[in-house]
Amino acid sequence: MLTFALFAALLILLVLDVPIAVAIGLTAVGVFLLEDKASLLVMLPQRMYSGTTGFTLIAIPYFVLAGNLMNNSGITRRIFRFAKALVGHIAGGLGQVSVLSSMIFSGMSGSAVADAVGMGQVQYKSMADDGYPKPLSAAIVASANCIGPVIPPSIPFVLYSAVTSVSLSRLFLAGFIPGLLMGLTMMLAIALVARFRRLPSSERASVEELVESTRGALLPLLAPLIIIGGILSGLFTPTEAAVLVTLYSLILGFAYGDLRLAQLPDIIFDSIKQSAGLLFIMAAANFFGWLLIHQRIPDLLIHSAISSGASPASVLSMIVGIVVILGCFLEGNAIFLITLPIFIPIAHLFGIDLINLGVVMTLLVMIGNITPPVGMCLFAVDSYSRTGVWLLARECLPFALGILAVTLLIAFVPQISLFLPDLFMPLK
Amino acid sequence: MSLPHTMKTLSTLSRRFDACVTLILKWACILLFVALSLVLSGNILQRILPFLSMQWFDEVVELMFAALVFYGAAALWVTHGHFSVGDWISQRIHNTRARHAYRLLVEVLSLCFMLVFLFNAYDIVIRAQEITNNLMLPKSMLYACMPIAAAIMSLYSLRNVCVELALLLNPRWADDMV
Repeated sequence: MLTFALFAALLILLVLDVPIAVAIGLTAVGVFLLEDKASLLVMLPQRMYSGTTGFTLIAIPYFVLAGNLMNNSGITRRIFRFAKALVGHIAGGLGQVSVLSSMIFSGMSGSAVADAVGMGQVQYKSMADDGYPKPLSAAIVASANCIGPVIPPSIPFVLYSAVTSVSLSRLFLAGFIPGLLMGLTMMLAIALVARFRRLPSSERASVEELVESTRGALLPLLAPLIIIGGILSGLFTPTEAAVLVTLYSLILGFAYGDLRLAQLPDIIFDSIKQSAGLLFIMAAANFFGWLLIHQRIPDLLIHSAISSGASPASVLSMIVGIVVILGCFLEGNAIFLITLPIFIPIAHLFGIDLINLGVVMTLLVMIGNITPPVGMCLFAVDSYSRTGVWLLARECLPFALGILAVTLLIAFVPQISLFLPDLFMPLK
Repeated sequence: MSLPHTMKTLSTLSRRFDACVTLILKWACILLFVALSLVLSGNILQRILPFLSMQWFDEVVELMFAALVFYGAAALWVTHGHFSVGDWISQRIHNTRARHAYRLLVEVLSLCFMLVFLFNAYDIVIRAQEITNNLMLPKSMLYACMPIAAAIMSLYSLRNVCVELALLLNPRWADDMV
């Protein structure tokens, strides 16, 4: 009963448009006040402080800044040109280019929304100029940029690791194959749509164009190698890798002459604000998580799950269902922070691999990014395509179903995502 | 002085205050971020050049990152930039007073949380007795960013409550507040 009342109160505050961090914090404060335990509110600043000062979390502003720097310099255009030279000639030409460029860019940026705003505008303009239907172009952009947080680096992975204490390096490796599968599924969907709607494709790139575009994109393509190579070789931690990639993006931006020093304070400040918004939710969610434990809510849910004879598969199906529904109404990272304190003990008890669960939840949250009424990528792409969120969401449906199919495959065949972490960083 | 004129003057003063607070928070955050980047880069160098000692690393990083998060959150609060589900309700409320009553409720809820946070964060700073292991910094110094950020956010929430209350009483003041 308390669990239901708690989440009902939270939902009402969220629906009222109270900021997510405030809604989460105020729900917890309200419970303690109603129980006449105001003395426990002293834990509010303590939990908020400890919730934001984990070393892993420092990576977030750096990954956000690296993505913003690349989007503000000419790096996105170079990657797009490179992808066009590679796959522009196949069915659904520029749609395929958008997916491939997003997959490449995913290796440098960790935020789907930032990618949809930055790289997305280059992709959308190319397709719209080439005569692609605007709603379809916008849908391809919104869906393709959801690959960003699945292929490392990834902000949701950083959050997940901070909340659950699982290895961020193993999580990063676990995202690779699902990210590739997601991209391939989307490319297949675009090829099918291209056949039905007779979408144009570009001419095959000449050898000169191939060489020239590869040369232009070569240095940006090294960024993922710095991150993954550095982490795997033990040279630096994921947080330090984030700092180095930011410095690398900065150097590239200035070297290409696309970035000016005068732009830098605003880019840094915007990145800090984007990250602080997320980390403030994390702070409030840490207090909310403490409330859940204090009220023994995970224990009660585990007890009822066991007594109902639930199997690991049914628990996993329940988690998938809950996150898909929440994804329609909540920002993805907030879903992580609200649900993980409950899901993790249950998953642990039912023997569900926590690394695989992190990948599955990230994929589900990406579906939430393109499902209405609250789909962050829909809002981001609609801000410049002006197609309307509901029309955009309808066009995104085949891609959302594709991502869901990949998610279910990863959820029930964990060996797929765990292949790389077990190969390169086996558990001792 | 007429009431509309007073509202206009208050609105102008408020905008100047906003610009000032935003500028201070902006440069505080940027400086913290640059300093944090230097310390983190120094830590990588220290691994290559082991004669460098950075025993204070954890404490300084914690101090700067906590300040960055809470001052960044305050800067975002000033611009109403925190994540929310979206204001889809007030678009559906056609009665102007009812719309302001609804916005007032949201602002009051935010203010309540900020005041609870401010009171308890201030309390923890006053009560903190411990010092850090390496730099011997008082823990209250590490926690200080919370009441400062909470005070800024409370102040802005209070202002928003006053604005919505004024608009609820007389919706025509909206023109004077632009």
